[in-house]
Amino acid sequence: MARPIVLTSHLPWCDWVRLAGDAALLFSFGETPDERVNQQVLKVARVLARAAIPGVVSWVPAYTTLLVEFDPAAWHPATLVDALSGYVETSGEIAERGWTWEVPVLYGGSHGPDLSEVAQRLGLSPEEVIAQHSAQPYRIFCLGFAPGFPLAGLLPPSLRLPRRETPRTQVYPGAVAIAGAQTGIYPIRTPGGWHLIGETPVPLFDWSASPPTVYEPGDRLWFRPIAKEAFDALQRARENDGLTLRRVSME
Amino acid sequence: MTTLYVARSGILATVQDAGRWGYAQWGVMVNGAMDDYARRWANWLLGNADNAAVIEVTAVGTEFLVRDGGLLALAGADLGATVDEEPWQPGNVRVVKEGQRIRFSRRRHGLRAYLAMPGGIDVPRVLASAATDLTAQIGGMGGRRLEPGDTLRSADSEGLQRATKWPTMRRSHILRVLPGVRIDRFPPGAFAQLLTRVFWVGPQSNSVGLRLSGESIASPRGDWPSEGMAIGSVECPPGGQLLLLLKGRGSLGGYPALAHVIRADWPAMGQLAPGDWVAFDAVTVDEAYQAWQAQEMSIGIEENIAVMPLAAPLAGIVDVHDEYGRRLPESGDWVYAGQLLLRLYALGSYVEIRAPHDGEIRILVEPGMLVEGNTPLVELKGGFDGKAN
Repeated sequence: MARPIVLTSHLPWCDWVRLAGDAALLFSFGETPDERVNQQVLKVARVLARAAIPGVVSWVPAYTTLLVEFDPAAWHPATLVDALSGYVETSGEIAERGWTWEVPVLYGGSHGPDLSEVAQRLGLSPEEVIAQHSAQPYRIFCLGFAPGFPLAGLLPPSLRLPRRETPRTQVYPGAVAIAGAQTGIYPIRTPGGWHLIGETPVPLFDWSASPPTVYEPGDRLWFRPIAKEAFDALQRARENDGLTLRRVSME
Repeated sequence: MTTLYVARSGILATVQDAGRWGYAQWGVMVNGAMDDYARRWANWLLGNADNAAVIEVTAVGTEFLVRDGGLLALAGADLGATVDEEPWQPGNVRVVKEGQRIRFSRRRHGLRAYLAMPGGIDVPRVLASAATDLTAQIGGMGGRRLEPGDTLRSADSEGLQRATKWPTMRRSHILRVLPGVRIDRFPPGAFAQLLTRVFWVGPQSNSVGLRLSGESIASPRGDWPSEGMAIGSVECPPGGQLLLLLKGRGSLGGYPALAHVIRADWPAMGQLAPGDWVAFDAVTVDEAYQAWQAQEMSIGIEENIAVMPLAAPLAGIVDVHDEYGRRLPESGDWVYAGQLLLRLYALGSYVEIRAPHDGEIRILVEPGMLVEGNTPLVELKGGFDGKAN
């Protein structure tokens, strides 16, 4: 029977390393998508970002794994694992900064077209969904799907619904959405299968900036319900002098 | 400066370089040329930097009008390119004059052709790349496909005028794979099914992935957290039809990978068109590594093209299927050393004809034909070690 190509399961800093083809490695840090496992993933991703290793062409931190794509003309996979190990073991701790960002959201109506259906299916009122969704900050586990899309969570069990059966072909930028234990925001216009419950007027992804988002994995998003007037005022501010997310002081 | 005016957009034409690498941690898609091997050949012909942006012409219908004359290079698929009705073979540089028309009117071999201009196409960079990302709508010509009225300018006015008789495209119906990183999530036998069946490229395919139809593969059951998806991954979404991830794929995905197309065969994935058949052969990591090294070293070979006939060792009946009934390579396919090309049925068993080295093949016989001993069966052109002998 065919098996995955396991390079090693003896590294002190991850569970195992497998080949994802001849041009990518997958590092696994645990089986459950919890905060502790994700912290390990992000720790190694930060080392990788700082090391800027030639021939390593991209890396994707996720909930429990880190994908590292490389040029096979530059690296033999086993040599690359050794080199990475060296960086991980010698680089000092790069602490997770864990900033919290306040995300103003206008819930429901045309800004969150799925809110009433979501509430109905969860056996809650729309107001209860809003209150629970905005009651606490959510950790950003990773960015993906679309540029800058934060995959955050975990939602309380009372807010969990499987994703929509028929994905939308177009979701508007700024859409605040939930699916399963996850919540996120669509930064750009893309297809999407999550439930749309609100909209933030704050632009999230700037192609001319590096990094293009103010938040990074390990940070938290705290959704704050706002009224239509405040939403409109923020949109005017966005047109006049730009608008970015505000950091919440957690002291 | 060479300047082209887009007269007709055709099925699809975009500006592409090697891709927007290095930003997947932010969810940015790579994109870039689907056949980066051919794109690099196009740049080599003019002496451009390897990563210079070129025009990727997909299928047919695209037409340019030359505004300011100059040099242009063509590599990759044979899409029936003409300059004022005069044929233009991939692997050549043309001096074009104001008022001439460049057309891509008939798809003969492969799917994507690459048109290079001296110094590359002058477009703004987004995150250090000129690649067009049609999903995010950024890069290239305003994040979109080329439309009539667009004007494309070269960055330089001068370039080399090289030519090659070597194939600037490596089309293959047979893709080499390694076992998938999540193969242990599949029912036993799924990988064997992948390696013994034939699939077809579906019409919904795009730069995100090739959707393959065929007998369904035993797909995994379960729900796993999203994780990074390598380009070249062979996924099996519910329903059992395969999805092959190309360079426009989203960085995160939730379907486990059954296999991975090796790096050296990514260019071939980019040349498969809807309706083409596809099969998969398993290789080892070392074979994958050698194939990529050899491919990297093969760009820029001008001379010494060897054509080697492979003859029947004895009389027999030509069979173009392998022991599983899968199709064997077709004329125009790039094959690798050791690959099975044909079988001859003789004396109650099959004699296998295999490629002695890498190269492009031309089949000289018909299936079912009875051939005498010493009859030439296949012509093998080029190959990394195929210098004239």
